[in-house]
Amino acid sequence: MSAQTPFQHEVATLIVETLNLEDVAPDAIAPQDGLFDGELALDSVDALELALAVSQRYTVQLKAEERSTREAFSTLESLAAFIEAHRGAAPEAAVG
Amino acid sequence: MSPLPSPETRRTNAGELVPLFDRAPGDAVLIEAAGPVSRVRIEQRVNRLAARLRAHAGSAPGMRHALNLCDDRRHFLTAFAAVIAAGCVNLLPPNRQRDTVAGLVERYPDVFIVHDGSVTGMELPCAAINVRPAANQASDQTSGQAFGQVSGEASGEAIEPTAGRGDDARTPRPAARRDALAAVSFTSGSTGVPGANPKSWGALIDGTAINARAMLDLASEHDGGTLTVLATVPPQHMYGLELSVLLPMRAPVCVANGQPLYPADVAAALERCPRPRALVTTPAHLRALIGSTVPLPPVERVFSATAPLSIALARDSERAFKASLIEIYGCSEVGSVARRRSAHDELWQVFDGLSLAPLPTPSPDGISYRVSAPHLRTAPELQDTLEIVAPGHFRLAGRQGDLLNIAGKRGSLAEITRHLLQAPGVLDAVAFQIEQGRLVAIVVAPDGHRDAILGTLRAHLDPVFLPRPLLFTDRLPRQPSSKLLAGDVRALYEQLLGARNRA
Repeated sequence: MSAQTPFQHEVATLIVETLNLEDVAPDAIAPQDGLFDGELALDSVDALELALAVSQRYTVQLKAEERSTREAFSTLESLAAFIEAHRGAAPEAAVG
Repeated sequence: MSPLPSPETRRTNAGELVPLFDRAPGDAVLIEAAGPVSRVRIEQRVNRLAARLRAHAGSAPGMRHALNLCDDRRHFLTAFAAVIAAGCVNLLPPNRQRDTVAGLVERYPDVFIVHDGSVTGMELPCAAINVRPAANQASDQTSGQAFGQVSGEASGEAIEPTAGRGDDARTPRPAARRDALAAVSFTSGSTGVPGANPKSWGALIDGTAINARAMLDLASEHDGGTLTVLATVPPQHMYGLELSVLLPMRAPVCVANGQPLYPADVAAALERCPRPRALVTTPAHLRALIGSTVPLPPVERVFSATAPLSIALARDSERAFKASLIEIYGCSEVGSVARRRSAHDELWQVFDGLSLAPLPTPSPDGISYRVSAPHLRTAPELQDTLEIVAPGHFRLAGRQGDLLNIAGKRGSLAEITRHLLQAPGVLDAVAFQIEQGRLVAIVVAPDGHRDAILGTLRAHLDPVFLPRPLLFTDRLPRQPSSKLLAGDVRALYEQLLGARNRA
């Protein structure tokens, strides 16, 4: 298992805080472990809450053409990469 | 609008063959990527699939149970109808978890699965049929040969072999007898075997007529035009089944395929829907939609169900979508029972055609009621206590309904609270459901430990009922009467959450 990059750690912390995963330390989320079908076993309501938190913090809209979230950001690694690739201006500067 | 079903209609027409799709031949039943699909085209698909199912189930009449695990809404709808047309019964599990599926396979030894490819890689415990047309062109021909003679008695389906596909006028109508068993839904408790709720085709017809009248307001608002619905909920549960499968089959409703999740996808999908259009969704999705910065297209109607909806979110949603938001109240046994425009009204309105009758003995929380209607075999008890304010109008009496439904599993707040109080070190506790659909708990446990408390709950409850989060406090805001008011609990919850997130 590879160690988290600093940004992955930041996103892992957001996941744990947003979803109230009290038993999970951010460090413990393996970057390549499936968020939805792996250890964490997140569901679609989690996905929505996470999407909201991500959009508010990083000004990026999460999208998935199909209902399944697996393709778009199935792991911490792919989610962090997606955010980095698409993040917008700081929230204060974003147009509502 | 057609008249409401009556007991006489039910009795005299029990053996009557009723077409599955009650729409004009060219009316759109659903919209897929390639465009709208008319009643006739859907019927052709249903006929083809029913033929394959009949070949699989054998030509003998009888109860063959089909577990519909189709992910794609149009495949689900086609398969749902084809199962009925083939004289089989749709099993509607409360969720798709392995244990649940295994339990049904054990309970119904003649079960087979219908799916659309999304179960690839899963170990399936019984025979399975992939309903996707592309996957089955070869077997289409095989089944065409297989059913040269079709018995019409049991399923009530009288169909000629392979009617010319281009010849819409001669496409036979898939149909079933009113008294044919069409579906079984399950109400799952926190322990024990899920209760089965059998529904005849006649019951689905009558229930859908009641729903259409209560939910569509067509005469007044849309001049009889077709309403396009986009649903964010799955078609398997009663709410999604009623609004995104049964209504398109039997009312001027067209369902857009898909089940978008993220706000950007929901908005894009809505934008593609012709107007008039309605969003069929839940508080969890509304929270995400309103909280996002995605511009939301106007709609004619928003429906919400499955979890408590706050007045604030109802009002925000109406503003954002420029439409009335109708909240639906129901129970698993019956489906939808009452409606309310939650942004404006406190009182629920029972659907025309359904009746409420009080139970003789009031509970500590108030009076409980049974729902009855001519088409219902039993009169199930509603899990909330009600206060009937005028005929057909009620408010919920308790601080919150005791029964909650998470991921298709029914739990009792009272029971969960009892388990909390039995956990080591817990002196006082309250559990409640939030808009996301989850359970939250606040406990007073100065010497208690989170792990021990959660461990106690895990031993007794399904994981979906584990509180998230479990919060600690010094004292619950009880009234002198020792009652807990919803508003006070909510305020404490927000306060504790805020304090914890700042820490």
